[in-house]
Amino acid sequence: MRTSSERLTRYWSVLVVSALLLAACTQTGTDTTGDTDPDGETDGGDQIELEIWAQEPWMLPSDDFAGFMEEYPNITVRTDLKPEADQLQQMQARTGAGQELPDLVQDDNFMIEAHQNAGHVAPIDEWKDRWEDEDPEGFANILPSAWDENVVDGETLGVTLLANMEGFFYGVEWFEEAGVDPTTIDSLDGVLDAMRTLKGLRPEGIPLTLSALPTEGVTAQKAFLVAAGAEFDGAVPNLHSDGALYVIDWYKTAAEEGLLPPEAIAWSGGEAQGAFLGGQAGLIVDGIHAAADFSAEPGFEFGTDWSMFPIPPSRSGDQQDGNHANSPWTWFVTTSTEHPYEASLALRYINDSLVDMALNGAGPFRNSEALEDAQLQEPWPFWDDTFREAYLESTPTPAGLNGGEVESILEELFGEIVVGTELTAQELADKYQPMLDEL
Amino acid sequence: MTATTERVNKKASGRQPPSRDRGGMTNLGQSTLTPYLFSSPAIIAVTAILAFPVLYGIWQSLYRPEVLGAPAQFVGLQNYIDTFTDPDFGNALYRTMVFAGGSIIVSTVLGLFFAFALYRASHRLRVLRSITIAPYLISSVAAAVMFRILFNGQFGLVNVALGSIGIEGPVWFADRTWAMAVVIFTQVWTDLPLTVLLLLGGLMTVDRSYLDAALVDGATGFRRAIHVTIPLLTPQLLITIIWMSYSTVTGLGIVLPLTGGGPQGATNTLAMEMYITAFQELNFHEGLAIATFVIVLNALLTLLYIRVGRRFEVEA
Repeated sequence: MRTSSERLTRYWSVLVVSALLLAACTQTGTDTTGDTDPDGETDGGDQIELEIWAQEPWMLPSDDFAGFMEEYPNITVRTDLKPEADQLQQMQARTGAGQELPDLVQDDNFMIEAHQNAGHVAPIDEWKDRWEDEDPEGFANILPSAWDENVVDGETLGVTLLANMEGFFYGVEWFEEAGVDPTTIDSLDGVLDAMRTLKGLRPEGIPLTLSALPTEGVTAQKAFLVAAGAEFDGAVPNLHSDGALYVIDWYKTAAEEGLLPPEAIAWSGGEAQGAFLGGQAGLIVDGIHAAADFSAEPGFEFGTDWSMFPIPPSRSGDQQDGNHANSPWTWFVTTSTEHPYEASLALRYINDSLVDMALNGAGPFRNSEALEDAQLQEPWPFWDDTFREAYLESTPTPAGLNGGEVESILEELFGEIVVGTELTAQELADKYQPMLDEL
Repeated sequence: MTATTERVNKKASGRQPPSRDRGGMTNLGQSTLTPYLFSSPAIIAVTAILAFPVLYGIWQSLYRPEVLGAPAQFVGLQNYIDTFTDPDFGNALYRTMVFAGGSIIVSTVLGLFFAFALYRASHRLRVLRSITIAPYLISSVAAAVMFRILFNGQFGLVNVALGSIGIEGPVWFADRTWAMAVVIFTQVWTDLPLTVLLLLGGLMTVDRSYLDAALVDGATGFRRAIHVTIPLLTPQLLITIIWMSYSTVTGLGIVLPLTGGGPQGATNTLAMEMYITAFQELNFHEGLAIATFVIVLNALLTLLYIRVGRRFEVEA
């Protein structure tokens, strides 16, 4: 028979084990943030830690803020990459768990409203004014649209430093063989004619490759809609507008004439690029940032194997019907940061690092000085006055909080066209517009 | 019982006789609560890791934000109503049944075939049993990428091989029927090793006396397999079917990288619909409603399989 002391020992052991388990499950951490004085000056003595989120590695300075930390020894920067669909959800999870948000976050421009609804976004008018006072030259290079796109109810919620733009990458050899000069293509009709010429020369080839795999998005198709002057209500296109009907008919014609591969319905962006890199495809629509991928490909040289031209913002060439479209990403300072001024300093460093980011795969940016930097010839050898002008004239692709649902429906629409359909453009618009109108 | 009797019993058995019950105390002085106290940390940990996310997900499926990013409001069953009235959901449910049914049937038939073959393999060929497991070691995503390249309409090896014998291969992933066939084929390819091993293990436990008795009665190999061996494999078949059903109803690893649910929703299973709803359309709460439905569906299917399986079970 066990004694009462042994029983007591056992009960104490259980209690200690349970307490240790509970302690292990409780999050502990040391507060590494330093003090910030009321004026927001960075205190040279106390250590400050900034947490910065971005979607892709090329959206951050390639030195991972090493130069920034050298300039400000009391600031430590920790970066993290979050896929685009994850940021809002993870930030809400952090808030729900009582944890602090990162200090500086980059997300798609249209998601800023969602972040604002969630209480994540802090106005940065104060830090924007200080930026202008303390670094007037650097501030002056930022295009006004970078700020204007993020003004809500008179408050500036963020800054859009990066905004990618789609264009046509083309196979130089195939175009030369076909006798097609891309510099003379000034309309979407002209692109279609060029594709027919390419097909006539190489019947087994793919004049235009694209990614139509569900969940890959319809960025290229939306760029066409904007270029053709389709009407939008937020993120929702009016498929019965002239521009939209034109684009639907354009894709239908291309599919019916064998200018688009039906198996593209299962092609991801990588496979579409692979067809272009492998010489099977004459054209691919992709963002300017993809130039870095093509440049990095051994034996695939700019000028002899590939080059690029903007998507013509005209249907037939008689007039400009639409615009060049860009896809903007916005940086915003979060409401829980204790160091908004330091976060704005990190923004300045990003602004100063834009050319370096382009050298590492980034797309174009809203900075006039950086856009004229000669170093850009390395990642974007096609970058000339035509491209620069097209970019400066570009407008954000229409977007909204229901953008994901819109994309799902547009994927179905363009997927149906790619695999083949008997419906006319009008009938396709009649079929899919009600689904869009429900959103 | 007298004390003398107790001592005699103890001496004879070498064990302490049980004492009288004293308010929950055994003869060793152990509280009946003690095992639970010692197990409680593990129980708490397992419950927290396994049950809490499921219960939390079900609870969150009753909420929805008015606009994206806003705090979620209680909406009751509205997410479920919206889900069940969505034509895409009905299509996804139908596609899931086709996917699961096709995978189960093909996997079971092939699994039996290979299990019988490996069972009869000579000693020198038993290395095949080890090789059989190889596909299971490859991640489903890697397998999906591999088969997407193999079945590529332009340069895939399958169409090249078909072309070499004069057959023009279809554009597999642009055709609704062929796309589902490839998805089923890929799923079976990744899960077949487990099926084969389960059935092979079951074959090794079959009492040979039944087979010998059937042989004496004049049954051929095929009839013995159908009427004797396979009924005796019912427990293993049941496990296989339940596992395949679960794997296909909930699995995303094959469909997402292989077809993305296309073409035109032809391979859009419930798991894909859940993914699209939550991560593309950013309707997280409606995605949780679909997830909850999938849990209930899996539970009901499992009960159905067990109920049907009991009718075929043979006591060995």
